[in-house]
Amino acid sequence: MWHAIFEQSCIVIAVMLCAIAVKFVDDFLDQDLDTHAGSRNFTTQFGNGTVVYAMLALALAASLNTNPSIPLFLASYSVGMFHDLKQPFPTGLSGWQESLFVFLFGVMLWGWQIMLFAILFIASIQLFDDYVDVCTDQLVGYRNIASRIGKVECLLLSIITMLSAYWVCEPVFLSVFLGTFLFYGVLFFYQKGEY
Amino acid sequence: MLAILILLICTLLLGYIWGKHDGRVEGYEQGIVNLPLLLREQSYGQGYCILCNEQLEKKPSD
Repeated sequence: MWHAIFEQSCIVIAVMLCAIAVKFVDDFLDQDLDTHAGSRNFTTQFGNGTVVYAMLALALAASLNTNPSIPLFLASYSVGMFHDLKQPFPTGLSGWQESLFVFLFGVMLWGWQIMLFAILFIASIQLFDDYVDVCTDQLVGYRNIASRIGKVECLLLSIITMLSAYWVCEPVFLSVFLGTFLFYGVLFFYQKGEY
Repeated sequence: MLAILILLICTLLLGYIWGKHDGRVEGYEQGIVNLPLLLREQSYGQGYCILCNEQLEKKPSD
C-alpha cells in the first residue's frame, strides 16, 4: 500500500519537475513575445540561467521517475514544433521533420503506448493553453491554434485528446494529470492570476 | 464507455464545424441581399441618394 502511494507520489513530483523544465525552456524561447504581451516570464528573473535550471529540473524528474517524465518532455518538444512547421531549424530540418523524428525516437526508446499517451496529453494541454491565451496572443499579433481553428473547436479538441490520452494509458493518467494540475495551480498563484 | 464518450464529443465537434460553415455561407448570402437596402436607408437618413448621389430636398426626419 505505502509502496504504491510512494510510487505514485514520485510520478506526480517527476511530472511537476518536467513541467517546470518545459515552462522554463518555453519562457526562454518566448521572452520577446511575453515582453510585448506584458506577461510574466521567468527569464526576466533568472536570465540565461533559465535554461540551466530547466536542465536541472529535467535531470531531477528523470532521476525520480524516468518513464513518464522523458516521454512527456519528448512529446512537449514534438508538439512545440507544430507552431513552426515550415521554419528551418539549426539541424537543417524543418519543424514537422524534427517533430516526427523526435516522436519516432521516443517510440523506439519508450514504446508506442506511452509516447502516444504523452503526445495526446501534451497536445491537450497545448490546445487548452491556446484556448485560454487566445486574446493575449492576438494582442501581440500571434495567431495561435485557437485563433486559427476557432475557440470552441480548440476546447472540444482539447477535451477529445485528453480523454484519448486516458483511454490509451489509464494506469499513469491520474498521476500525470494531478502533477500537471498542481503545477498549473502553483503557477497561477505565482503569477497572481495572470495566467 | 470512454470510447463512446470520445465518439460523442467528436460528433459534437463535427456538427459544430458543419453548422458554423453553413451559418457563415448563409450569413454571407443574407448580407449580400441586405447590404444595398441598408446603405440606401443610411444614405436617405443622411439626406442624399447613394445611387444618383443627388441631395434630397427634405430629410425624412424633418
